Amino acid sequence: MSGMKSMPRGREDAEREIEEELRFHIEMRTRASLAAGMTAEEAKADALGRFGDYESVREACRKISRERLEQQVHLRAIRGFIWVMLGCGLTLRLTGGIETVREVGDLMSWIAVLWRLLLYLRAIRPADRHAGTGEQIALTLSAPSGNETTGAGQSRTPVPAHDQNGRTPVERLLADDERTSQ
Amino acid sequence: MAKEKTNLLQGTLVMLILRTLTSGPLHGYEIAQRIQQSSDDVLRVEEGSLYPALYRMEGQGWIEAEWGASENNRRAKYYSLTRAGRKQLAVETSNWERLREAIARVLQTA
Repeated sequence: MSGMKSMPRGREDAEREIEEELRFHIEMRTRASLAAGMTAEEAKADALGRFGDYESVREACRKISRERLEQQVHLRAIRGFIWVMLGCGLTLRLTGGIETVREVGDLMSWIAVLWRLLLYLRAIRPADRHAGTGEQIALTLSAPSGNETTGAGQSRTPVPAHDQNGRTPVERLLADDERTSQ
Repeated sequence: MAKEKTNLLQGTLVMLILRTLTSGPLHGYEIAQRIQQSSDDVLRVEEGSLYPALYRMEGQGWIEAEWGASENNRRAKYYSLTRAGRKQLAVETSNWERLREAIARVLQTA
């Protein structure tokens, strides 16, 4: 994988990337279904069915992306303010005529350094207005027997997510990983 | 910074995505496929709904995205785990274990 960081420069750039990513997903799913023997029409319908509501997914991604861009603007503003504060603090410290002014300069410099450190450690960050209200990820349990169907409208019945050893899917993931790492 | 208090159900789903990404960078389609395959087709992500979750997780700093060439030489967005994501995975796994043990205790005593 040759890499280029995903850092959209603006809203239009971000929306173009979202569109490209979602279309790529549908294309990959369509190809897989074609390879499994479906006709082109069936494969496309299956891909769209599995994907869900394309418009609402795209809108949700756009909304999150817009929020992130706003956060980046706020972050840049905070960084700028820190540098101004540090500059003022050092100026007062070095050129202040009386002790009190130099002490104020010291204080401002230390606050700016501390603030930058907290920002670096991600202890402070611009407010995420929608933090904790993340979109629901539809995760379903499919029937364990061989009555699997594909595409939209397939039957999905809740079943216990344990194998014959009583392990959950997560435990199986961890066990598989341990096996492959040995 | 890893969050200590999380919604357990949502956290479980986030945990699966984080856990899937420990094997290396993957694009969204591969993430959905891996979760389904690793669970022996028991778990199935509604594929479109994965993307808002990935964008949200990227915003939290748990994963980062990078454009690269896919196996069929198409431009694809690959997600990988960050250090904060590994910490969050540990938190989510711990929450999951606590939930699982609590439910098991209730089922044994009820």
